[in-house]
Amino acid sequence: MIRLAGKSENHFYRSAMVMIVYGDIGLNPYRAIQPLFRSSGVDVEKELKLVTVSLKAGHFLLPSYKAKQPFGLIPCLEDGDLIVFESRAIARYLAEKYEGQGTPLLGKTLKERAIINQWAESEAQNFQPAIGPMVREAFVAAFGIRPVDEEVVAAGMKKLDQVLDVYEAHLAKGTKYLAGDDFSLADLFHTVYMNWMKSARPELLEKRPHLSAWIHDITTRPAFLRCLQLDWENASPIQ
Amino acid sequence: MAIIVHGAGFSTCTQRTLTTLAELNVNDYKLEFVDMMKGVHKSPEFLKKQPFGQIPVLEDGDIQIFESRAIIRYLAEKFEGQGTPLLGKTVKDKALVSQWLEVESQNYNPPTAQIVYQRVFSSMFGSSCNEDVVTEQVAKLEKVLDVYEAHLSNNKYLAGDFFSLADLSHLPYTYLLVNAAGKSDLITSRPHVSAWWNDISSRPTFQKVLGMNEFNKKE
Repeated sequence: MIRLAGKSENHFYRSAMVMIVYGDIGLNPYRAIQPLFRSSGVDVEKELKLVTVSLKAGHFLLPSYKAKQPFGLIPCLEDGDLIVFESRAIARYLAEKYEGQGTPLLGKTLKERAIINQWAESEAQNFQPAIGPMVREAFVAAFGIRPVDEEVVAAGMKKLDQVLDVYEAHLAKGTKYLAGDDFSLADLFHTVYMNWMKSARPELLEKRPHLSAWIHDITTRPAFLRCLQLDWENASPIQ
Repeated sequence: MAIIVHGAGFSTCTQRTLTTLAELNVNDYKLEFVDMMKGVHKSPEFLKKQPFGQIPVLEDGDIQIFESRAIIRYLAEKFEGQGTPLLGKTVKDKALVSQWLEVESQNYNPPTAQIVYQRVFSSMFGSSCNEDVVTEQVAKLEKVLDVYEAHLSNNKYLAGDFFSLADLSHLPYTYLLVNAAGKSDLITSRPHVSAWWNDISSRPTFQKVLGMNEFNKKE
């Protein structure tokens, strides 16, 4: 890593090393690095190295990983001497780092940013608590750990119905994206789990035309599709 | 034009907002009480402001924002340069503040809020405390707090050596956890978490906001 001599602490220096993202095929790792695929001029292959932290192989328990992410969760980003975890914090950091390159994910004014953050928090506080348990049940069943807990799924569907009604009504007002006419960090936070939902629970899109149109838009953008093509299978595992 | 906070002094998420205003030395605002006991937060009128029927909502001129963690970010950005630098000063600071805000939001708050709901709020809303839920959530919170204990043994505050939005965001629910839910042992049994808690909860800003709780009787 190259430190630039004479630079103050406030100057963010670009290290000679590429950024490393620790993760695996899944959902949160895509949310974390999706901003890289939005920005023009970012050669993702050159700027980003993937290191697999496999939940199945128990990598998240390795001291070498816990030293970076003490909660043992994925993903985690390393950019020079900065380590950031929590997918939404990583996404926000990358959106800010590449601000000015490509779509302004954080808006252009304080007011725009406030509304973007409002809908970004709505994802974390309203959408995620409803969809998270359902995704967990699906993965747990898929790995044969235990059968699906139907009560959890039923409760999740009920919550999702309430939350998605709000989204439908909001998008029906004519706003193309959650925070206005432009795709923003708020939409980005939702993309990967909405993508899961549209194939796992398509019934939730019925009778919600505006929600459906928005989901279709955000999940078919070339940038997102490129993001999904990240080659975790050929990534080197954490040591 | 002055700021209006639609909320309630006893509400944790409102307290998050009011504490931030205090830290930023913003005193010119009005707290509009939303009477949840009367169901005002679910009225058609209120749902126009906050479609999920939750408090708080902040009004600032032609800007209207909901979700307390979005509100406090807006305030910290708008009033950057006055009061406490709640987002830190460098790019690295900001990234770590975001990180620990997400830890609070995704790892700390879910179990804590459930414990507090069961032990403190359930009876207020016509239900009763489910101790099985409390036991289950305490086990989750213990694991989270173990990580905090290790982290705070090397850092005075969550994002480093400065008090930030990340620490602030923990104040309202932790206060209830310790003082109303009967789970102070979770904090006091961990020396570094305990020291951090004593530090942040004794800040005059938070103490002032606690005094705005409608259920507190002022002698």
